[in-house]
Amino acid sequence: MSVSILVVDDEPDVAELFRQHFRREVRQGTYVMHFASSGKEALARLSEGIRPQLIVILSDINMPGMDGLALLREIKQQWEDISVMMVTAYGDDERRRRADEYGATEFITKPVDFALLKQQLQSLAGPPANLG
Amino acid sequence: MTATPDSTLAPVRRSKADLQRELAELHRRLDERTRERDEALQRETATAEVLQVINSSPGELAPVFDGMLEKAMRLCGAAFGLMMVADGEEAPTVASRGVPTAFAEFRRTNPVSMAKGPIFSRLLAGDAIVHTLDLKDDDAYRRGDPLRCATVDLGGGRTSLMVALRRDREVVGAIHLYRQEVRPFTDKQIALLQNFATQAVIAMENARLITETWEALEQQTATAEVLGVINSSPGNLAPVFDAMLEKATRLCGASFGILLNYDGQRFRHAALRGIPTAYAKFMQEHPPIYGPDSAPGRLLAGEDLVHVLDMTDTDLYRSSEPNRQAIAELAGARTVVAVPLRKDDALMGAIVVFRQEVRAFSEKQLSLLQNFAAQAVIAMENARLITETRERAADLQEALEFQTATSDVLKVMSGSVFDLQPILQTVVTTAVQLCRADQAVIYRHQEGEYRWAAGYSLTPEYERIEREVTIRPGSGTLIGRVALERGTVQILDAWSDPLYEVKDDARVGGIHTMLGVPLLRDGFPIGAIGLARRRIEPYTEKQIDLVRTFADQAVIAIENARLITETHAARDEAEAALRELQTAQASLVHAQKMAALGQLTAGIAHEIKNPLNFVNNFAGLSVELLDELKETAAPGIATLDEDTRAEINETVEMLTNNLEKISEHGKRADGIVKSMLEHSRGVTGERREVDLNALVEEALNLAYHGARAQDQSFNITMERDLDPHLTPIALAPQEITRVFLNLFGNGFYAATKRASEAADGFRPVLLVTTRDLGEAVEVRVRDNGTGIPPEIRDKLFQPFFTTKPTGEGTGLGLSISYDILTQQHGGTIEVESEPGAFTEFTIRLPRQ
Repeated sequence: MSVSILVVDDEPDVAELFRQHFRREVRQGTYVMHFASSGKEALARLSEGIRPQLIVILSDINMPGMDGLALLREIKQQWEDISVMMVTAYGDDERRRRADEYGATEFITKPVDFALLKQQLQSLAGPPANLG
Repeated sequence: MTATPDSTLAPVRRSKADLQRELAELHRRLDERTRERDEALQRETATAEVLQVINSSPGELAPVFDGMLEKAMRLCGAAFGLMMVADGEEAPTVASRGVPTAFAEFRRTNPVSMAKGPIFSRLLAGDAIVHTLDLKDDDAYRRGDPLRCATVDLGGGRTSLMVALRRDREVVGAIHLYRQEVRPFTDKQIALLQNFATQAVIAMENARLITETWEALEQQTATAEVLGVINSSPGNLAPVFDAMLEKATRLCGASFGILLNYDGQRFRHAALRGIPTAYAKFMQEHPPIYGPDSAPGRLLAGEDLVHVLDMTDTDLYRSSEPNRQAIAELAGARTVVAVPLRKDDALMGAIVVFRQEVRAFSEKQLSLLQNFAAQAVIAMENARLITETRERAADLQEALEFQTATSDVLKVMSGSVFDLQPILQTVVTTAVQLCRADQAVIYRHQEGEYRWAAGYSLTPEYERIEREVTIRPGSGTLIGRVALERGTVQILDAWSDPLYEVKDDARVGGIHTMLGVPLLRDGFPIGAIGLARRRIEPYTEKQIDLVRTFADQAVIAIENARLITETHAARDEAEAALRELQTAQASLVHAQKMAALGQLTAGIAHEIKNPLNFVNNFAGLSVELLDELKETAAPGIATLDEDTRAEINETVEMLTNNLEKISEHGKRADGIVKSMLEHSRGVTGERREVDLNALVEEALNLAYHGARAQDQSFNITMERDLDPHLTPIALAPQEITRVFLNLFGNGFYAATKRASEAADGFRPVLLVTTRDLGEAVEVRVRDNGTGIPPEIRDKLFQPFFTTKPTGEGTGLGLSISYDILTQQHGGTIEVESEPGAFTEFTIRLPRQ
């Protein structure tokens, strides 16, 4: 059974990057990738409901309009159980602290270590055997 | 001849008798003539002899009288004779000859005035001669006149002849011849004696003239001598008075004399001559007070001359006036004459000369005295004028000296505006020289006390004392008294001044009369000048005024110095503040520049980082995708012809290589970006107390092995001069280690680079020095490498500035080090370098 991952980033190429990195998992049907280019769009997509089951939102922090941290707060207020991983180029303590405070699952600094990210996603989704 | 015979005989007889008579007469006449001739010859011989005597002893009458008397007696056949000369009322004997002993003895023991005798009286009455046939047959003898009786009875005198010596009818003396038998003197003898008398008068006149000439000469000589003395000691009257009185006393035949000065109130002794010891002593013990009846007193009352014949025959003597009594009895003064020294009716003094016998002074002597008096007045006037001239000259000289001194001080003042000491030194030196003092000091006020500021000509021992003392206002010291009274103080003798307390010090200094003048500023004594003399002599008004002038100048100088010092201090302060401000501004500008550059760098890094991530990511993905493509397309490709297959494979290989190059350079760019991001990290390192020496050692090791890892041939001598007493300091060890690694790495690079360019003998060295400066710690990193050209030293700490070839350095090492040291640790980093010799970085880290 597939799970959904929502990537929120104002940078369009980020979606392409994730798609290419997860091309095998997507081909095998392990993950379904969803993309939103702003916090507003992400919230809209969440309100519509994402299928199959959403296990994680990967959000950039530095975005025009609603930034990643604001999005995190909003998501956590409405959908407390959804895991959110914050991705940022700015690995400073303040952002890390606030991300923790708002209930982020992980704090990932760019450039994203995709191998590590895949392990973290696996632990969230549970062993592949259970997915079925 | 005609005669008859008868008558012829008679006449012959008669003729014969006549002839005999005539012959006798002729004989008689011949004898007479012969006698006359002989007498004349004798007379003339005698006269000639007398004249000879007169000529041979000009001016001296005694031998003349003696010779004259002898000849007169011989020619006149006298037994004895006397010669006397009138002197006023008296007629003392001036020559005597052949006087019988008994009579001579009588005359000696019974001085009877010949002048009053019966014979001499007749001369005075007008007789030319007195010829007495028999002295014994005469009234005088018969009535028992003592002289007559003695003459007759003791001298045996009988016939006597007295001839008067007359000049212009006045009887000036007499010659008296005696025979011891009764036999009258012949006319010729009388005439002879009269001739002698005439000659005696001539001789006396000659003598008088000669004496007068001599006297005149002597007086003129004396006058000239006195004038000589006056000239030779102008202004100094004592020797003039002495010489004058000596001559006056001598020439006037006085025993002693006194020259008096009169100052308008009292008489003072200006010169004394021949004063008998007893009276001199009396005068010392009882200085004479000359009252109105005394000789000087009478001169003061207006008399032009006081001539007292006998001091003992005066009312003053009889009234037992002490001085009159003493001068008469102790000095034996009898006849006195006093002449005034007068100038324009004002009495200036008197010359008084005394005789110890009663004998009047002659007119000549009186006029001589008056002459001396006039000279004395001139001398006194000269002296007064000379003294006045000298005083004025001295005043002018003094004024000139004072002005010179004042201008000297002013010159020094203008010359050394910044340095007070030379001015004060000039003041004390000049004060000593001009005020005839022996030493001088200046003390200055300092917190209620007065301390040594300058001194001149003190004995070393005394100066040691004076330099050490602190003086408080009070009467016990000169400076203290000046400070207390805030005015000029004169101490006539420090050794005996009742209030002066430091007498021992004054004795050490050997000083007596002191003068103190305050240095007043707004009425407050900010110091004092003290002068001292090694003798007792008060300071004159002029000298005090001069010292006051000096004091004023010293005050101005002190004030100037104070103002200048204050101005300078203020200026120095302002300059220092300005420098600090400039430094602060420079470092602020630098820091801001650095911060701006840092932010810019970080900003750029951020902006580059994302695209770079894509580059890297996509490059990596593309390599993967190419591999997948090769794998997937392998079966298809295998079916192709060899050329096509080879072409495909080659293209895929080249793509793979390109992607790997993109990855590689992307990662390099990523490294730069990461370094750039360090600027924006802020304080990350935790601070703790560390041993800086250990940190240095650790960083040295790391750097060395790092360098060795990159280049096996790398070698360098590392020298350490680490302060063993360095106490731990709080800092961020990781950050500081980064700084050290950076600096050591740079040092290694520069030294190695020089080694590669230099001759074989060059030995690269890196020296690290640590020093505990107390408030801060200093670390110096010195290499003997290529050095840094001055023109790029300013850019050293700018980001991206590097001298290394592309790829070897980011240009961020020193920039980051700068941030760590200055921003994070509040420290400094400076560089010193000489191209081709050395570079030395100096780090200072303050303790916080």
